Amino acid sequence: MNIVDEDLVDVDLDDDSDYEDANQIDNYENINDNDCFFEIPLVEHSNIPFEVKDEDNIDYDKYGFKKSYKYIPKVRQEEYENYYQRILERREQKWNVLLEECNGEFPPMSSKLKRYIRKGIPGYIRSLCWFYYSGAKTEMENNPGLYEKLLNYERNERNKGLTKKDSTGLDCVYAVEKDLFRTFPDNKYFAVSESILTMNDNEENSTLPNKKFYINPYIGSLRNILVAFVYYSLPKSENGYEGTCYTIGYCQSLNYIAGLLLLIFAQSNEKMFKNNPTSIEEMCFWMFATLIDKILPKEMYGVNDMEGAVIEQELLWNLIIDENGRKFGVRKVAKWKKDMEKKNNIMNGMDDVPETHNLTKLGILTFKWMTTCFVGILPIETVLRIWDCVFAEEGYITILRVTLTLLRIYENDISKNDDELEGWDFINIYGDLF
Amino acid sequence: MNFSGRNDAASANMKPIQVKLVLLGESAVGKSSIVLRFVNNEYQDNKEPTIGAAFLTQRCKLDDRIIKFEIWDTAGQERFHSLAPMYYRNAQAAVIVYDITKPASLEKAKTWVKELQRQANPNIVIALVGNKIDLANNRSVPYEEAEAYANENGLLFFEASAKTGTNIIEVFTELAKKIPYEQILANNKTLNSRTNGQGDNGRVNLNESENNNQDGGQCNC
Repeated sequence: MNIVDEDLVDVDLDDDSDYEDANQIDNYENINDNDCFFEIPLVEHSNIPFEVKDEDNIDYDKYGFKKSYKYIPKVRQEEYENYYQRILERREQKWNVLLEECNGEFPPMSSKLKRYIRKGIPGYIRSLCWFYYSGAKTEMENNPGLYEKLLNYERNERNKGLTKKDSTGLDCVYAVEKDLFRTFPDNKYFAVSESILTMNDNEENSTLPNKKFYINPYIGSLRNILVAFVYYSLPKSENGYEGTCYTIGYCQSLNYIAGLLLLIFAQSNEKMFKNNPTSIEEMCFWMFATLIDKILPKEMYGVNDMEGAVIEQELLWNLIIDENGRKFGVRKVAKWKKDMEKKNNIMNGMDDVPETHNLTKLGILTFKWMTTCFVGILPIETVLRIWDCVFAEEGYITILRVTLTLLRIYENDISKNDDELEGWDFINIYGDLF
Repeated sequence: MNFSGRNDAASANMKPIQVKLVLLGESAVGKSSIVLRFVNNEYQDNKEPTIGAAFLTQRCKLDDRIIKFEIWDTAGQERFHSLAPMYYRNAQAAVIVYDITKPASLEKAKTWVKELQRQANPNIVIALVGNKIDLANNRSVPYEEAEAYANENGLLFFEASAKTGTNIIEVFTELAKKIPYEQILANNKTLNSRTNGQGDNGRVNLNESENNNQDGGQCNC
């Protein structure tokens, strides 16, 4: 009965085995599922007791995200943090000197500044730096009052008695609302209590947005930014502002990007966020709009089946394969990918499937990396360093570089897998380790 | 269905049968939560939206077979729809999920059923699952309505809750029971002989088509 070739590769995640307690075993099995089976208690119409969470034992990082010691033990994470902290302090001193030289103004772009940005913008000045160098500041200054006007689009539609059934805008707003409490639920600033979650929905026929979205200030501001963008990116024919030359409205993954922008801007301008949240929202909105309009490829999130994002993956993978990965230093990945594709096509009898309908499975992984700009894929500190380059320096190419680098770092491990899905699974799990 | 322990020596030696399964349904109905409950026996409030798709595996034992579910958990938002055929094209099983508190999500589920019936593998086994029965107080899709629809269309039907775990394993067990294994095994055999028969896969195809042409007897002269 040997049907499936099960010659999978043992992935050794970590040499430290002393912290492999009972809870860890399942996690290991997630990765090494070659010779054992999961032990799942048989559930028969009975309630599973909820995991007891000991709130006192939860550690948060400085951005309010819950720390996970699932893959890397606490001791080693703390060691690394201490080491990294010293680097951060040194970078901060260097930046202070640079800014003093320019009388506290942002210096014009130079190779020195580029180097400084690549080495990481200090946290206290990060949001302003992004705001200035990305061009969002100019956009905002050129469009005074537009943000508030966009927010009024929703109110106007509601006052007219429209619902999501008769307005694309409100339909998008409804999609935004579905994701609000699902954006960073593990972050202490975005978390909401059970009582808010269970509040009534009364979404239809109401002239005002449901107040449950405005109890937590972060959720409220996130809603405003995303709603403003809904109307900004809808065409006039759909009661939108027509700020973009394509139709987006709302696309899942934008919630993560807007959420992280808001978190960074609110954290580094805490007082302002408390006293005048609209001004922080407005800055975040223009950052967000600049990213999608000017930095990322067109139609990345478009209503037209996210065509831009799909094309990006096809381009990326065709480039990797055509050049046999040589150009990007990912030869093994390219060869492996080719072999897998050949095998898949034969296994699935897909020889006649046109390329465009056959976004490859690894393509789905890189699709996720690109559309989220790595939020939720890489650790927060790494994401911020990438965003430093995206916003303040070289834009979208940084995302491609990071994608290729990740593939390169793990190409030995990826190419060991003899099934594209196993490889996919592997990279997906490894995502948590970066 | 048995979820075999790791010390089960007899079954550890068996090669599992791969079953490709896809989850489809509107955004926020609980697709990822159902998979998370099935694969890790975990539940998380406010599960983050899935971007693109997620891939998970779970092995289980049914009678004397080891089944390895290869699960594609898809993104629910309409604009990810164009990616879906990639996941369901070769799937042997599908779980189509709706939310019992949201009638529109059942309508969306019905369009998925139609699409699968039209475009997926004709032997695909489909389960319709009404999730969130822990919110039965806010129910707005009657059990009977969805059940009648499922019966008319030859679907397995369950109401379940990823939050409490009710009926989750049952969904996968009943699906597993209905998979036409003999057919999968037979297919794999022919594919294996196709892929292993000759060294170069590409050439096999070419030769085959050449042979076919010759067999067709259409002479050039």
